[in-house]
Amino acid sequence: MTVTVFILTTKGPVRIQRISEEELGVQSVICLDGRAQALPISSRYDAFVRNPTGIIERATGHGAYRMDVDRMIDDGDSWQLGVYLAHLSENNTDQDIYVFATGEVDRELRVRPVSHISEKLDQAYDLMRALQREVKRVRVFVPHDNDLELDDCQGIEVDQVSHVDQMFDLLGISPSKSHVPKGAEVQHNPDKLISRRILFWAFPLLLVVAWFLWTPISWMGLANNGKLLELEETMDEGSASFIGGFQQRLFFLLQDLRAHEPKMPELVGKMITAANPQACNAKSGAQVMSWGCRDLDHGRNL
Amino acid sequence: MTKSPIEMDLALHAIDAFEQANDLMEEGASPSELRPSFTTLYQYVQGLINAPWQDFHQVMQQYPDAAADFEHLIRTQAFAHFPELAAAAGDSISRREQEGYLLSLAASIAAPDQVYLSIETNIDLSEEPRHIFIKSADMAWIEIKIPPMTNGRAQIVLTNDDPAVRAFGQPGAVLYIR
Repeated sequence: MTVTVFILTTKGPVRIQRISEEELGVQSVICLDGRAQALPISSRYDAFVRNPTGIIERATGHGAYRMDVDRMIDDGDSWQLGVYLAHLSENNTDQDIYVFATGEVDRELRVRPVSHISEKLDQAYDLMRALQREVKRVRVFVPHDNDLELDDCQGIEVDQVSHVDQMFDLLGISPSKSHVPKGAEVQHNPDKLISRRILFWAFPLLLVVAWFLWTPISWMGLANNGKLLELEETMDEGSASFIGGFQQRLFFLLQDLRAHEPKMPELVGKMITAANPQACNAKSGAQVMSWGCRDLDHGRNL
Repeated sequence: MTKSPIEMDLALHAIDAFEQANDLMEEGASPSELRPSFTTLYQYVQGLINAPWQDFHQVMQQYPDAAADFEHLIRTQAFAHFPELAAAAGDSISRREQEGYLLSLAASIAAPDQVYLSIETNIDLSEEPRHIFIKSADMAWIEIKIPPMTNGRAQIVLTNDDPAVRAFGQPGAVLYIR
């Protein structure tokens, strides 16, 4: 189900046909009926969308849109209430709703009074009644104004609101980023969204990993340079924390991987047997064992 | 040397009179009613009058001498002049930058048959630019009206097949902002 929004103007209601995302380098623009004709209020619409002047980017997370309407809007800011609704109305209502709106919206989402409300309503009654005859749900929103007298509403219910939340409450819908008004095609570039998300998560993750690895690597530097006292002090400081324990384990693991495993020295010996037993003293006997160690790494006798 | 407005006015009318006299002296010729006078072109370039013709491109094509006058005027009066670019013949230009002005074309995602022509400037404008004049590679003159700028920026929506879009993409085209 959808929300179809009409902007009340003194020249008759203007239907919002479509809202689509554009590239961020482009200014938001309101075009006439899909044609290459920008409305004079386009620069004001851009300011209404874009942060920090506007409120649409703050709510939807995107800063450039193209909106198509079926008739010209020449001037003023009373289109803001209807445009805000069109950007943020959810399409999960239990029936199609036709909304007619006029009002300015400020940064705090308060609805500010606008002029010529009676004239704007007069211009729209025929269409409202026609929609009602087709058993359509029609709602009309105008800014709350104590001086405003809506005596002759011709059977149409007109709600005065002072905040956009009141309008959403009365419609029974909640503001949503994923709004698609009737006929609208909010187009997202999936590749761009995925790469944005990857960048969003990958950068902080890389920072954490770099920080975690840095400490063991600095300890290895100290160990390589023989600064054992300094190494011992910094490791003692580091071990106090939970993460420090893991960093110590990683350091020892890396040291083990880097350490050269020494080969066990080979024990060599030879037996010397004297040809003449009398050449030997009585204590040692005729046979003498000679022992020595050989460093297998360098082939030296130790 | 600075001229007073009266002297300027007299000079412009003298040029108009000279051109009319030349027209009249040509055998069998009748004074051209549609040909814009030098004064009209001057006032138009200065932004003193609105366009006195329906189709700028057609008038410039029909009256080559008026087009030459216009080119002389716009070359001397333009806020920014974008000369021909030394790009390869097959290249289509989508961005031009000159004298504090940046012109760029961006395709619309919402309407693939349309593009956005953006005009940006960092110059403190005492007088707002109103037009982009393009002399295409095949010497045709095209006029684009610039909407009021906001924070040094304006944007125009054009269709892909608009002559202005085609001409903008030609390296051999010359652009003026006035």
